[in-house]
Amino acid sequence: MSTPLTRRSQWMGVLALAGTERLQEAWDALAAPPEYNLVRGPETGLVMVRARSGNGGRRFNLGEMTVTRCSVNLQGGIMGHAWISGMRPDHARLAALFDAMLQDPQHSDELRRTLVEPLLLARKEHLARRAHEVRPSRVDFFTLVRGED
Amino acid sequence: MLQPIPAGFSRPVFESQGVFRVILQAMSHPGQVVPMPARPRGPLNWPGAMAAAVLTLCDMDTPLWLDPAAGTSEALRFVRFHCGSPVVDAPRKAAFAVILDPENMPDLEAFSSGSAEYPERSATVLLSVATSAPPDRRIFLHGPGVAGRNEFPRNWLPEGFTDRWQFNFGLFPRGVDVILAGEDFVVGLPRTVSMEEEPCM
Repeated sequence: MSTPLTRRSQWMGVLALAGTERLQEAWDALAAPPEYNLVRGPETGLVMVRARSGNGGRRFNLGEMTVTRCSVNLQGGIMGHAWISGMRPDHARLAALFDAMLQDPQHSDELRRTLVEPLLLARKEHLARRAHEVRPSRVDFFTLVRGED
Repeated sequence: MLQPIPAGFSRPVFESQGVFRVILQAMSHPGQVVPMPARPRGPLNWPGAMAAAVLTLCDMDTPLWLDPAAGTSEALRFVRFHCGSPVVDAPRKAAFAVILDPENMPDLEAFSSGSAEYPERSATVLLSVATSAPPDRRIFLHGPGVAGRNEFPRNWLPEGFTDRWQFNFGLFPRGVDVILAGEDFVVGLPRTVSMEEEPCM
């Protein structure tokens, strides 16, 4: 299923996970980079990562992580946001810019083809490779029926 | 889709510290005109010092009330995005109030004046100042933090404000505090200051 919202969270995800150099290359390759204002940041802070064990238990604080966020405003009024891990202000700014441009019908098709699709593919390959690497060491735990009664 | 949010401070930590220092200076020297070091763009029609004060003072723990002139959809996006403040529908519930149309502002009694046990739980009212009109008479201020007397033009405040202030002054230790916000300055009017209008010639 693909709604505008899931599509956006998908591209925000791969933009955040991509290498900074990759985003910089894509920005440098733009024929006409758009004018923009910084609305907030880029600024770095800590967020508390919370989790549930087994995705069902009580929520607990896993630990703090460093996050850099940035919000930009294109000349036409479209806003882009990015939250990325670590202290990478340039990455956050570029990811927010691409988020804004991807919402702009004028740029979205081109950018999806040249940036988002390749990033999605690379991400998929990376995950598949990781899964393949760890598969040999996989252990399944199970208990045989003990028949004590 | 097109819902731009006005920019906040460009260097939030340093600018909000600078603005906080200026507000302290203004509140401890009632009536003194204190220049505002930072003027973020803010929502349309908000004086620069108003936007700076709201960015500095308001956060998720400070319910905010905006008068009809201030409460545009752009301004709501601005305070929710930059401050995270809950915007309340009644002056009584607010810790801070932004008033862009002082002539039609609610009575000071409409805002929380704290309780005898917790007078600090009162509201702080941020009042926009239009300095365009030529000054007519003056307002004189006396009280703690004022050496002798301070003064500023009467038309910086809405008509009849000094009478309403006397009531607020009489509530001490309860009462609201007022900050006048111009384009590039603030003036503090804490509840401890007494106010009198220069008599007509």
